[in-house]
Amino acid sequence: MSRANYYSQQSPSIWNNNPVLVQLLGLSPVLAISTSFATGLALGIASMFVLLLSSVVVSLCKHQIAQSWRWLWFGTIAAAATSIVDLIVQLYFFALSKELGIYLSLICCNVVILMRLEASLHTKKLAKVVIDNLIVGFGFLVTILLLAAIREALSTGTIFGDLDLLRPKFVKLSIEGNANQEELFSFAKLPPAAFIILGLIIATKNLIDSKRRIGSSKIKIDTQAAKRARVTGKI
Amino acid sequence: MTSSPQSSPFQHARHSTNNIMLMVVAACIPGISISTWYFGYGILVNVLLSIAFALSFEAAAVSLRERHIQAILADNSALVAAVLFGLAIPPGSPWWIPFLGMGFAILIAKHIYGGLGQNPFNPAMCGYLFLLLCFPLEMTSWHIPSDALSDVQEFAPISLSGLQQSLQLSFPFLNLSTFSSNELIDGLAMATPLIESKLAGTSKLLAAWQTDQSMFSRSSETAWELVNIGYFFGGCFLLLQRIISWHIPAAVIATVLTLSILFYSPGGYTIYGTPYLHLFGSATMIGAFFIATDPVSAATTSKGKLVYGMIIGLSIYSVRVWGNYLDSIAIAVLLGNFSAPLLDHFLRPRIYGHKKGVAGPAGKGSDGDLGMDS
Repeated sequence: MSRANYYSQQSPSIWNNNPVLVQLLGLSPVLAISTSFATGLALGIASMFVLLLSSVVVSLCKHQIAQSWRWLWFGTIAAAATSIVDLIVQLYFFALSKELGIYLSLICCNVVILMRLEASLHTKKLAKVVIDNLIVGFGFLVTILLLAAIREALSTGTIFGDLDLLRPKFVKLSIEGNANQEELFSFAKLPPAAFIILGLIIATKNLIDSKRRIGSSKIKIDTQAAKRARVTGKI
Repeated sequence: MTSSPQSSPFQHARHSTNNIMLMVVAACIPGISISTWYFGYGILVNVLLSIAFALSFEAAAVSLRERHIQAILADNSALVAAVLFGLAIPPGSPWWIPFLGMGFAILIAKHIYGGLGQNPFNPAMCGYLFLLLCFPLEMTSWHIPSDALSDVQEFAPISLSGLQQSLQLSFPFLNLSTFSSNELIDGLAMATPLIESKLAGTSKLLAAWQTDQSMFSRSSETAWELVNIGYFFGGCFLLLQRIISWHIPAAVIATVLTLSILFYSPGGYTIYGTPYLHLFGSATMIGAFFIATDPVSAATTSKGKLVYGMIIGLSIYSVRVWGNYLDSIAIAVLLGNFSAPLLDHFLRPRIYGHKKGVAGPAGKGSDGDLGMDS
């Protein structure tokens, strides 16, 4: 079984098969855009929308998509959906589109989406496609929001400080958004912090999983027996 | 790893790890005492705070990794990292500066990579650079007791009031001192005289030197040359004890000296500074003898050490003169650490009885497999 099929046939789950924390897919937008909660939310929702739209199209046209050409079709369909999102965001949320930059257009290259399109091609029922992809998209959204919340809280001391970015052009607010731009811990905005915090989140998840596994199976795992003597070089 | 019986020849190790690390700390003592003499208790408070935080983080990391706490704490490597870090940060730093710095250094730069012997970068310098990126203002304000600025008051920086001021700066919530906070912050904003050279053309050190001011008059302007001499003698002690080899310090100092002579334009207002300033008015000595020679993250072959030292010297001079940072030991040492594995790969020594080692994929006649077959 090829790697692509392996991932596409895993049952989607927010916790056990999270696209970011478990499969480690689509990391570049997650790491780059998670500097603030509002941009993370926007990118997560946009990715979810692109995923849903393109997977429905793929599912509806699955008899027309030739097996050997399918990746070309996936790319084209995802790019079309991304263009729709990109144009809408540029029209109504211009400040947001400047903030997201290239990463909004790069949604069509997100591996999570391409993997799910492959899975959608092999799923019979349209309803199952929609539900599965909602779960995957929601898992992606939750992860990017968690990372973004931690990074924004560390760097500026707020969560959802730049809420004003998410206000559409046609909604007029009398209250001006007061984005707190005071820098507390500016390291959290830098790319290495994204890697470190994401690593800590993954470690926490694995810790919880292993605690659960030990708790459920009642088997005491001997940690001393599995100690490695060397971690580098040839063994 | 199997403990297969090994045949002679055996090499006698004169020092154990904890012994080596203690010697390094001992060699720092002259420099630390001179710094404290000139800049007040702030330096000492920094070092002690860093040691306390480093040991607690080390113990926490070791207990998380389920190793033997006492055995690992006894190797003193966290102690050395803490001392070097405490000397690098400005005196009068608030307590959370050593806390965050040592946390990053010990937890992320050291134990995430696998602990002592596995870390590719110098932990103390990682912690320092992390703080410099996060808190540029706090990391470049060199607070010293106000008495240290005047030449008139003898022994002022190490008086009781100086200690009070230092503690007040380190623990802002304590309200120890009767001085107002404005008075306390009134310090000399310089890490080394280099910044003076960069901004004003000539440094106070240079001015003092030119007006025949005695080196031993206790003004903080001339302190740096004595501090550097202290580290120089400490380094010579390490050389004599054969704890470090001469290659790295010699290469670093020679490169900095050569570059500063090449670019020095006497007389004119220049950003380049004199060679004397680059060697003795900055952190070059502690960098060359104590920081660049970290046995874990430095290159290990003799030729590799020379090139490694040259890379560090080149980076020190370039960042100082053409870069934005005041002093550049941390950046230079980390750049050197990046290149160290490559240097070790390509600059292998010839092993007696073999042809010259060829760097290449293992198993194609290279001698890189020697001793790696366990």
